[in-house]
Amino acid sequence: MLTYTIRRLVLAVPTLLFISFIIFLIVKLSPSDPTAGLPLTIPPEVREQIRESLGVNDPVFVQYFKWLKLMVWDEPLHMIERWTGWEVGPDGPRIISYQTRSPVFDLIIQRLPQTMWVVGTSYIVGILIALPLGIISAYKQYSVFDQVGTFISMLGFSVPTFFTGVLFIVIFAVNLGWFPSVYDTTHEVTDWDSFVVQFKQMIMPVMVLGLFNASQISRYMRASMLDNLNQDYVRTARAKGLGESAVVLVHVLRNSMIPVVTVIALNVPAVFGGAIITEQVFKVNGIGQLLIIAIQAGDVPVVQTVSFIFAVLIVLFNLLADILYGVLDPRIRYD
Amino acid sequence: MTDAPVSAPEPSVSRTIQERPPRNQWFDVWDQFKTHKGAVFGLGFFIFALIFVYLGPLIWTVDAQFIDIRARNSGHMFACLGVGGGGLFSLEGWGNWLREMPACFADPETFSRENPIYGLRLSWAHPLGADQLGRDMLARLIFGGQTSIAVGLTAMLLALFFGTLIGVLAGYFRSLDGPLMRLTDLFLALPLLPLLLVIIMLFRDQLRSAFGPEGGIFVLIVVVIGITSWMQTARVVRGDVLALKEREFVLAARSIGTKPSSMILRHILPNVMSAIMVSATLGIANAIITESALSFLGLGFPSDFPTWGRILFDGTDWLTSNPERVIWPGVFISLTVLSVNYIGDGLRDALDPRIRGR
Repeated sequence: MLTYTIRRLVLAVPTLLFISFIIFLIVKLSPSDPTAGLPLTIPPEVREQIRESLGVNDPVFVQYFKWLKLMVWDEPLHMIERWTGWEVGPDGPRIISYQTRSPVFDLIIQRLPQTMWVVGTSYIVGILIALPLGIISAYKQYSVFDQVGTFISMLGFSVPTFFTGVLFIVIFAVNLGWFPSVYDTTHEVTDWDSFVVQFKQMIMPVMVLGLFNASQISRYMRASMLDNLNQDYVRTARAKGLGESAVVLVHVLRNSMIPVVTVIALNVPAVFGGAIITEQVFKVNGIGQLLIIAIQAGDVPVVQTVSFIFAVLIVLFNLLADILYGVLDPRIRYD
Repeated sequence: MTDAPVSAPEPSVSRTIQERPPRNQWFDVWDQFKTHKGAVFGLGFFIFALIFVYLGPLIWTVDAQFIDIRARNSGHMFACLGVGGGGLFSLEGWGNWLREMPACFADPETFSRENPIYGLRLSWAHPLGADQLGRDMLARLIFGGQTSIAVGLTAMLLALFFGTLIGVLAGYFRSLDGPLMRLTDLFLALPLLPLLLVIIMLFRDQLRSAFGPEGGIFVLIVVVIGITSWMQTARVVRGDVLALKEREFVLAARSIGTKPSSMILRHILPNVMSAIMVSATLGIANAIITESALSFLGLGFPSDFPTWGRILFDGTDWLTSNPERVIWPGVFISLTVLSVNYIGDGLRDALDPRIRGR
């Protein structure tokens, strides 16, 4: 198991290199000129010197490796320095945002908590809805509950979050006035009343994302339960006189959870991606909104960094899912 | 065609077999498909949506770009159902409703003018209302639907082409399997939504000058969705081809000297059709959602060449006064995607010979 994990970790490196190269290349290949925003009165030879000093005329590979070193070596060291206070940060340049002129990683750290709160809570809510729904649906296959449950999960799977979000705003914020339509990130929880305010403003974004996640996970849960319910070991468990709850909730559920847990791990990066839209709908100033603003302003360093972080998340959670599969299922041995 | 010379040993047996007329397997598929209620509903709605957007302009001839400035921000005619005032349980309210609702439907202009308490601006000239510039919403929905569905279908075809090509090549030629599947894995690890946004931001203006404002963004969106969503198809097709390669008919075809190209075209491809068809439906749904998400984020189609996603995005600024401007395009996107997903579900059952009851 350990050798497998190490091998996979080593294999993840070329994947990440490839992805970072693509992200770098897309931005490089685009015919945009870094000096385009400078005044037209600058003479061409000075403009050429500016390009030279920015390193734009270097070979693509040289530029790529310079950027990569900043991204995977210098910036993480700065992060370590920030969190621990050790003097390890190198003196060289940092990845600077064009818009705010501050290091990109500082911006991301400002935005991270909001995204984590909304995305994390919505994922937990989604799982908590999906698991019972999938289990009961499968146990009572073709019952009314199952029919309604599968229909709702199909609906949740098909209706895009930007429509559910807007619909929620129309119903609950505009017509009923129960919840605020805009997520206020400057709000601080100090006592019970402010906690209630925070809770109210989180309900809509969390439910929109949570219902979408729940509809995906419950489909897997139901299919996996159905696969296991007809197995011989279930008949054996019933035959030896185990109670129905023990059969379903202990024997069947534990085996059905194996693929579902890996799906839950695999979907985490996709949830971060989907949060881009939800953050835009509810005006949460998280990482997704940072990306959108950066794209609209042509802020290349921010766009590159955030995309690269998403790629790292995808690769890491793929790895985690594979390892979990091996840990949970004794039939799977990678060695 | 090979059945004809093989005659059964006993005539009685052959007669009982003959009682069932020969059928194409697609009839069986259709019979199974019909038993899936959701799939039939899905097919029905999808055909309705196609008729609505492609034949609609023949009946509703208003130009989607025409600006009727006097009708700006007018509501949809369904608002007539909400007149009357009073609560759900007030008898007087229901009486008012019975008196005013037909009047509202009969002459909405006069009704809106004479009953200012409802704050309505209605007219049969714009049954679904008009936007903030006075462009007719029904015409915009029809026009936007054309673009949305065209994007969905074209991007799906492109993704299907790449996916089938890579899947068949990887499954059929052992030497290509490793590299092509690693390529698929790499593409699966790309953060798609951020990447799509970046590509569109960077290449929008160049393509716009090359293909014109509408054509450029159409080509760009179709291509980026196509080249970022072929991976699932490739994996499924590769798996099917690997299994097919071990079958006897492929061995027989190879033993008479069939070339790889005709082997793929005549023997392999027709047998992976069912997998391709199922991923085609999923591809349409995915492409429509991705396109409307991009338009919703403001990076897709421009406002004067709208899609359903763009109309929805434009309507979010008027949520409080005219929520219907968001609801109609949203309902169309959701129902189209839902119907396509149900068609995919039904097709998967119908094309699986183990499920198909024979």
